[in-house]
Amino acid sequence: SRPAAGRLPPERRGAEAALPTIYAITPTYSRPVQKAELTRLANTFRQVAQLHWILVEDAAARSDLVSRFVAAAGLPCTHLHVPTPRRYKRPGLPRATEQRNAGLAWLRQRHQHLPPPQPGVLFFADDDNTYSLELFQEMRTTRKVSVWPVGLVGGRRYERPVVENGKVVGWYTGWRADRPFAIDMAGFAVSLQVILSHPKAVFKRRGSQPGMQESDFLKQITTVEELEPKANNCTKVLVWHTRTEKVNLANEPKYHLDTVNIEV
Amino acid sequence: YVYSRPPPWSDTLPTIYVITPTYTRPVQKAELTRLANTFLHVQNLHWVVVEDSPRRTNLVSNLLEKAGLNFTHLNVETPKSLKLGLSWIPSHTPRGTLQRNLGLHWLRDSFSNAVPPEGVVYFADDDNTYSLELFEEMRYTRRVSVWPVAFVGGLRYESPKVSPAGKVVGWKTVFDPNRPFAIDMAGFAINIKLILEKPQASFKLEGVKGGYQETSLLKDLVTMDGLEPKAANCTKVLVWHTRTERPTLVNEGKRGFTDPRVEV
Repeated sequence: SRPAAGRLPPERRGAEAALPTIYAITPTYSRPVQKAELTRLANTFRQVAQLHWILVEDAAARSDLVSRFVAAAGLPCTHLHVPTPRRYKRPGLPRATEQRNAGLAWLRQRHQHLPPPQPGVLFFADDDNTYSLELFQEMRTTRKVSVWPVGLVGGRRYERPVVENGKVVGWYTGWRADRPFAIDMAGFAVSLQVILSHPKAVFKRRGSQPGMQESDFLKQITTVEELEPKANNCTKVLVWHTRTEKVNLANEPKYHLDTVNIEV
Repeated sequence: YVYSRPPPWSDTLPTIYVITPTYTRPVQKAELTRLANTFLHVQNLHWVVVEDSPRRTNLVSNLLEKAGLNFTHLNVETPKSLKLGLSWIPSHTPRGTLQRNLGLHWLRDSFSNAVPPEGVVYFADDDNTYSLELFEEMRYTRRVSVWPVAFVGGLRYESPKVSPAGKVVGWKTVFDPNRPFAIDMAGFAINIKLILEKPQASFKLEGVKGGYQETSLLKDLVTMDGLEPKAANCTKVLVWHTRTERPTLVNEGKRGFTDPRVEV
């Protein structure tokens, strides 16, 4: 249970429950910084009302580390796993495709018998990005597909949709602005109902070019014309494509020196 | 509505004074944002943010105003000669030293040794990752408490060595374990009474060998056998020395491409 909710007065708790749920689909994989990344992500997500975290491990089975983490995470969390086939684990190929699709499949399965329109918004939250709390306020009102700037991506301080008269008319991006949707995974959210209404929309492997995942996905479910610009007509950066350095473990002994087995 | 606020201030809980040195670079706002998102969970936390700059910047001022935390905003610029290690002693001034010392100075200025508050001082660099549990472990420090830190010294973690009787008797590190305090900045907290009782104790500015910065402060405050081991006798990792990659801003070009008025 979330300790934060207990601090709210009763009328706020009721209002909180009425908010459309935000589903964060996070692919994750085992490496030394995994627990740290999930920890600081959880610390952010726990500040957001009605957020449901869908954590999908790139693994053949649920790991102990993530299972323990989820049990103590302090927010509603669904723990899935699906391994990436070896042939797709080459540099240059899109990553986390199977894991994001598993998140979509879970949402579809959970809601398939429920009548439309289903409230709720989903977005793809990689475990090393940084999210401001304001971002969640912005995305919660998504009717179909909303978009916003992303910091520190595409070789630039930020990339953003170009907005005129409240409509997206182009893309301010460092890489291949000719893509139908020249936007990073962290730069959009989709209403749950749109996902349910387009049951075949998934991240593709066959026929997909590197760098086209977002575009190939979005063109299955929306048009540029339909996009809802957020973050003050896409002029504020509320999410950053941070990346964490690989840790230096040069001093780890070849043979176990420590007497205890400590998880990091 | 903005959901997040820190828990209500308590008159009985010791305050955690977190001193964070910070400096301008592209990921700064992201780092401070996710730090704030963590600190918002911690009751009675006072964030002392010290910029390495000649003036307090708008970016940090605005972030602190909006975050909702109790804070103090300071600044002191590291002189270029110290930054470049051009001091006449052939060693470097580790980063953040002047800033941390200013934080200590502010505490000594703000509180009297005659009527000291109940509280603990912790040095939190802006790129590390902190679990919420860590703050409750350090809150009731009587003098100086210590615990393991992940990803330092070329190891998964470094840790104090704790005897069966619960006393710190050494250091489990590969890098120079014979330092008086072979511990990372993120691995200890100090009762504020001790800071006020010993006004001369601060981080040494020059002539500090690599890895001895923490020792330069702690040697004037405590001896090894006076240390209090936390985190289940130093068997749990509750803080990770993560580092964030420098973003490649290749597409900004020499004169900058993106609009500098858009803050990232």
